Amino acid sequence: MAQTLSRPTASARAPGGGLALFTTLAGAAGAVTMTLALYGIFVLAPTERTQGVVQRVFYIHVPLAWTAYLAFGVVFVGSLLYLLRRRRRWDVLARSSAEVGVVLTTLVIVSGSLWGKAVWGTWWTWDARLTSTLVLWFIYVAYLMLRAYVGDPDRAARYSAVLGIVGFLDIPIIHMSVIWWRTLHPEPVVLRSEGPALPPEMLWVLLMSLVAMTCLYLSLLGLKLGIETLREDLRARRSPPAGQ
Amino acid sequence: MQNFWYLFAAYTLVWLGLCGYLLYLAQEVRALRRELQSRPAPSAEDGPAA
Repeated sequence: MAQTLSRPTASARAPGGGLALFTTLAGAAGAVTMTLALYGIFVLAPTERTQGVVQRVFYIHVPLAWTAYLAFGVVFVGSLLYLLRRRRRWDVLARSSAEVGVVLTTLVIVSGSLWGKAVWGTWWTWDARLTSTLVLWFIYVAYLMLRAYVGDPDRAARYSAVLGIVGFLDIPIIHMSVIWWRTLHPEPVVLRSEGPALPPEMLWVLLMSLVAMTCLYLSLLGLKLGIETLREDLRARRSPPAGQ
Repeated sequence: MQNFWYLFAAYTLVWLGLCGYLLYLAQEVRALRRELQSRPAPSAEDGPAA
């Protein structure tokens, strides 16, 4: 038994070799591609005629929004698989991605607000796109609060999985809001049935920034997954199951 | 040129937000590892926690 006590488990040493490698690779790829993207944003991309330099907020605001959607898409898939298979790892994936998604959505709202002040003359307007994005933020903040306040981990996982699935339904509404309703927010310029409305030099910079932000999201997700794995291990040590 | 400050503020806040979150995660990893090392892994002799 002394051997069991003195030998650290794999997760005490590291949150998993594969996960650590994934996090490092995604982080390194994110750093390289973000450097290239920043060069593109501030050197290569032309200055937009109507808005001037502030239009360059677009190259960080849109990729942040896309990666936030991706993060909540991962919450949706993780939650669905948890409810179907009842494996803890799907719940861990969903809750890790939810936290990263909330951080990204906060930055979308902050960057959009600054951009809005510069071009619309207001920090905030109750426009359909802005309001539905704020609703998305509230849904996933509620998701994180639910996790924090429901004591029983299985019940917390079940309830939040339902909220994670329902909350994802807001994303198509956000995307379509600028088409369905008259809004101050511009219509999509890339994901359109007629094809992107951007000149190629702007489109390439946007795509590079999107790749960089996706890599950064993956590295943050990997880091958060490692934390949740360590936390699960710690919980198991605090209360080992009966019979062990 | 006034709009430049909004551009500057937007990029600064986004990077501060991302770096702040990264630091928070790194601190959490460090604290959890420290706690895990201070607690021995459960063995067969250990009963369920009270």
